[in-house]
Order: sequence, then C-alpha cells, then structure tokens
Amino acid sequence: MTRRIATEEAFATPEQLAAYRLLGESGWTDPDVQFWRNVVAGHFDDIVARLLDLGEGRIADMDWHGIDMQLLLLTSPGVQLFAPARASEMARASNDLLAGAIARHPARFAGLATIAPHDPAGAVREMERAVRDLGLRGVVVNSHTGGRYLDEPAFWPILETAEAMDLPIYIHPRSPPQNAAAAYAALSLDGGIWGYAAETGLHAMRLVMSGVLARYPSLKIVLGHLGEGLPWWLYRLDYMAGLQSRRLSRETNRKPSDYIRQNIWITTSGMNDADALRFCLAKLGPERILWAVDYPYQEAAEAVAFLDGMDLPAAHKTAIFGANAERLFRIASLETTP
Amino acid sequence: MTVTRRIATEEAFATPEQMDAIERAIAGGARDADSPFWSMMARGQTPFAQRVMRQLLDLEEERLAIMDAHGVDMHVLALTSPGVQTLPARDAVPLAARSNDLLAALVKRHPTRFAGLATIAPQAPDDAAREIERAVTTLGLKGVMINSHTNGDYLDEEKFLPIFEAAHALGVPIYIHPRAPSADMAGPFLKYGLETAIWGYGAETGLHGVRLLVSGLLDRFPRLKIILGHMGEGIPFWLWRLDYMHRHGHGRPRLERSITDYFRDNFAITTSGMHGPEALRFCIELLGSGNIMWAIDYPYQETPGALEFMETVEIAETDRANIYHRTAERIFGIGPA
Repeated sequence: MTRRIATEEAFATPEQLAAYRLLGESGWTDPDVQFWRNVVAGHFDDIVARLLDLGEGRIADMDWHGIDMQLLLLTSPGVQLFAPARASEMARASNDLLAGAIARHPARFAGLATIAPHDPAGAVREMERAVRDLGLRGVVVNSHTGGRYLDEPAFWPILETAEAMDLPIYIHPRSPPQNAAAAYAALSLDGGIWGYAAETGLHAMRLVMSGVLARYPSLKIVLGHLGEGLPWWLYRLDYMAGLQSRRLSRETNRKPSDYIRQNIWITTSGMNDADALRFCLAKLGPERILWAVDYPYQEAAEAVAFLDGMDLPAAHKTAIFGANAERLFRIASLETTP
Repeated sequence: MTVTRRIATEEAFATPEQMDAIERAIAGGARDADSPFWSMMARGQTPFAQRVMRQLLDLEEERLAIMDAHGVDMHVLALTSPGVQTLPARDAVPLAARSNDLLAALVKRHPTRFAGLATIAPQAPDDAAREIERAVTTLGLKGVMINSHTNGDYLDEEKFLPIFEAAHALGVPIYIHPRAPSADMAGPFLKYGLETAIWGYGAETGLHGVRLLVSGLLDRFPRLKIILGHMGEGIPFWLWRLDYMHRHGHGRPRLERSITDYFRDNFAITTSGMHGPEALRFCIELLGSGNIMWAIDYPYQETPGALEFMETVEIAETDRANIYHRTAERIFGIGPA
C-alpha cells in the first residue's frame, strides 16, 4: 500500500486571520493583503473554515481521499507582513498551536516551522526551539519579506542554521512585492495563475546565482508547483550562466543546474499535469519530486487521481507519493511507526 | 545531415543609427533595465560584445558566409531588441521607418536568403499602425516584431489597439521578442544580472504573453497570430495551471475559450536559445509542430549549436521539417525555395 504524504498543506490560526483582517482594513494595497481582505470579507468562508480546522474535519477529508499524512504550513504569507518583533511572537504562537495539533494526531500530521525572516536572530532561535521542543521538520518562508530575498546577507544566519540542523526550507509562493506587482495586478495575474510562480521562481534563481548554495552546500530548498518554472529553463540557465560566468565563478565554476540538482526538491502542488511531471522526472529524477495537494486551496481528489492515474513505475510512484517526503522531512516510515 | 530547407526565424540585426540612439539615451541617463546590457555592449570590452556588435551591424558579408557554411537557407530578420522602443516617439517613428526601408532593400537584394519583420514604435500607436501597413504592403515585410513592454506599458492596453487592427487586417503575425523587465518590476532581478537572458527576458516576455492571453484580445482579433521565442517563454510548461487557475479565478475579463485553446490557435513558438530535447518534445506533443519554428537568435547565440540541436534531436522527420521550414513558410507567407 502506497503511503500518501501531502507536503504543502495549509492551515491558519485565528490570531493570524484577525491580524490579516486589520491589515485589510488599513488600506494597505500590497497584493497579498488585498487577497486576504477578500478572503476574510466572507467570500471564501469554506476555505477559511478548512484552514482553521486542525482536527476532525481535516482528518475526515484526508480519510475520504486516502491521504495518510499532511505536512502542515502556516498559510502564506505567514507572519511576514508584520513588524519583526510581533512577527516572531506570532510565529512562536503559531508553531505552538501546530505542535499541539501534531501531538493530538501524530500519525496524521507533521509540520514546518513558521519564522519571521526579517528578525533573523529571532528566526534562528525559533528554528532551534521548533525542532528541539516541538518536533517540527523544517521551515517555511513565503518568498520575499518586505521585498527582500533570502540570498541577502542579513538572512544568512537562517540559512546557516537550516544547513547545520539539516532543516529543509520550503520557499512557498506569495505575490510579487507591492512595488513590483503592477504589471501583474493590471489583469489580476499577481496570484496563483502567474505572479506566485514568477515571484518564487525569481527567489529560487537568486539563491542559485548568488553563491549562497556554494556557501551552504548542504542546504535543502523545497519549491512547490513543480519547481516554480526552474526545471523548464535548465538548458538555458546553464548556457547563459556560461556566458556570464563571472557571476558564478567568483564562488565556484559549477552550473546552475548542478545547484538545482544538489540543493532543490520540488513538489507537485497545483500542477496535476502528467506532461509537466514527466518532464520534471526526465530532468531531475524521481527522488527529487514530492507529492502535494495544496489543501484547502486545491482539491485533494484531483491531486490523488492525478498521481494514481499516471503511468509510472511503481517505485517512482511510491517515492513521489510518500517515500521521498519520509526521507527529506525525516518522517518515520510506517514500518517503524507503532 | 538531412537535406531540408532551414529557415531561422528570430535573427537580429542592428543599424548604426539605432546603436547611436541607444548609446545617446544611456549617456543621457536612461534608467531602463536594458541599459546595463547595452552599456556593456557599447564599451565593447569583452570578446562577446565585440563579436556580437560586429555581427549585428554586418548584414550580408559575414552573415551570409556563416549561413552558407552551415547550410542555413534563410534568416527572418528583425531589428535587435529593444528596437526603437526606448526612444522618444519623435525619434522612434522615423528611425523605425528608415530601419524598415533598409531591411526591405536588403531582402530585395537577397530574396531567397532573407525575409524581414517590421520594426514599429508602439509608443506612437497610430504611426505604428500606419508603418505596419506600409511595411507589409509597400515593403513586403512578413510581420511585425515588438520587444515586449514599451516604457512599462503592455500591448493588451487599450491604446495599442490600432497595432492589432492593422496586423489582423493584413494577416501578419506579431513576434513578441524579449527585453529586460519593465522598470517597476525589475528591482528584484537586478542584483545578479538576472534581468537578462538567463531569467528576466523570459519572466518579462512570458508575463506579456499571459497578459495577451487573458486580456480578451484574442476574442476581438480571432485570426491574430502571436509568436513567442525561447520555446514559448515558459508558457507551455504552465498551460495546465493557467487553465485551472483561469477557470477558478476572478477579476479578469471573461473569455470565450480556454487559455490552452488560444495558445494553440493564436500563438506560435520558436526554439531560439532553447536546445533541450525534452522541452521541444513537450511542446510538439502539446502544440503540434505546426506551431513551432526553428530559430538561432543570431548573433547572440551561435549557429552551430542551434543547428546541431535541430539536426540531432530525436523527433519525427515530419516534425523536423515543419520546425525547420514549413511552419515558417505558412505563418510568414514565405514562398517555396
């Protein structure tokens, strides 16, 4: 029996949504704030209810679809919209709440820690606490924080800690920074249809081209949506990096694709497309791809049927559905779970 | 080697006048994200810059010799990006016309070796529409090339309608060629040179393509043909998600058809700078080789690499023939060899 572990599954806390509601009322026109203003205004009550449920309703949904485990992430953009000290405080409260849900349902839930990247020292402390005290399995960062990206030296303590503690960092999408979003927002392209991937793919490219992956060679980065476009461009990345080799060769003479294959794992969230998955399998191999639903934003039934229905070797399917997640996030395999 | 007609469809040239105008704009403090690249090119301090600048300005000596040496039958030429789009309209409009005259004269001297796409100044939409008509009906050019945004504006905006009306009425395609992201969105790209071909060109031009797809433009102009280079600027990989999100989304114009339908029927793509066999096969399966054309992106990329890819990639021979020449003959109206 193949174990299904969904690896990009969202939850929210009442405190977080109350804070988003206040931001929405503040008139701030950041695209993510506008998204949440619509959600909490009551247009998406079913989504809100499912985000807040970390108990029976969520588990019933998982049972219905044959999902063994959800890897839970505080929904995007997490605490990254708030001032640093408050954001760290909210992160701690959220991680405590998540750990409580996991303690109640240890066979069904695992979790990634939320941090406030713009409070790097606080983020490092929280990563240590979240792993040692709470048993969380990695970190989620929702792309940019105030228009800043993880390659910038201010964030290096976070990368250093993640590498030292072997904690994968899931770079989850959010909209492009407010001052860079106008060209997307003109036609409501700033969200899941295009802007999320444009923003998050650029973030990953900054990590690849900045040299931080040479500095932290064991760092594990996870990207949703089949790698936010990076696998598609591998040939061109290497060719163009060869032309502008000055930029990479300061740190190393390796190619962008070497770093992508060394440091990046991808998930299938929101990409239930057989052609795209086969493309990624050919480029990256079955051990680098993890299955995800993106609950409750996308439908579990579609994600399950998609991978179930794909014509793949059984070993590849088992790896993508769960075995790769067990390994990457150190989730005990069923054989060792009492 | 197979013996087949080889038409390369995204091939660049420059005029001294264009290069002077771009250099003057940079000297005058131009701040667009293409300026660092052209500033590097103008300084000519790297072997790449020296070779590319020489080969851009050469029209019929080194260019034809390289085509002959490698068995390339035809270049479909266009004025190099960003064309005249960074210049004030009063300079851009006459410069575009002179560039098109020069291109038409070149095609006339070598009608079996060159075809041309017209340059326009989108910043003056009515002039641009008139120039499209002149370029097609008087000069015999085969379509239009527009280098993505113009001063941060995208072609789905209402003011650009005359351009599409002209192209649609004349039945000629519009090639949306890359340039660096528009000023507002370029900030996060600039730190590691990501605004250029390694990432920013695709990000900018892919966004432009998606804007056209969701804008309703293709319901207004159902026979319009848009061409994207670089294997479709990322869009083919995302078509499933584009369809899904468009069905479930809101805040965008109502469309008569799915994004994939428009992409299949109203878009064509070229292989410029994308020599990955998996990506080509992915696109053949999804779009059909009748929507795919070969390109080198001369002189930015080199002819042998593009040729080796297309000669050796494992695809059906009918697909290879389509990509090498038949699709281009149909879409650009290029006569038989």
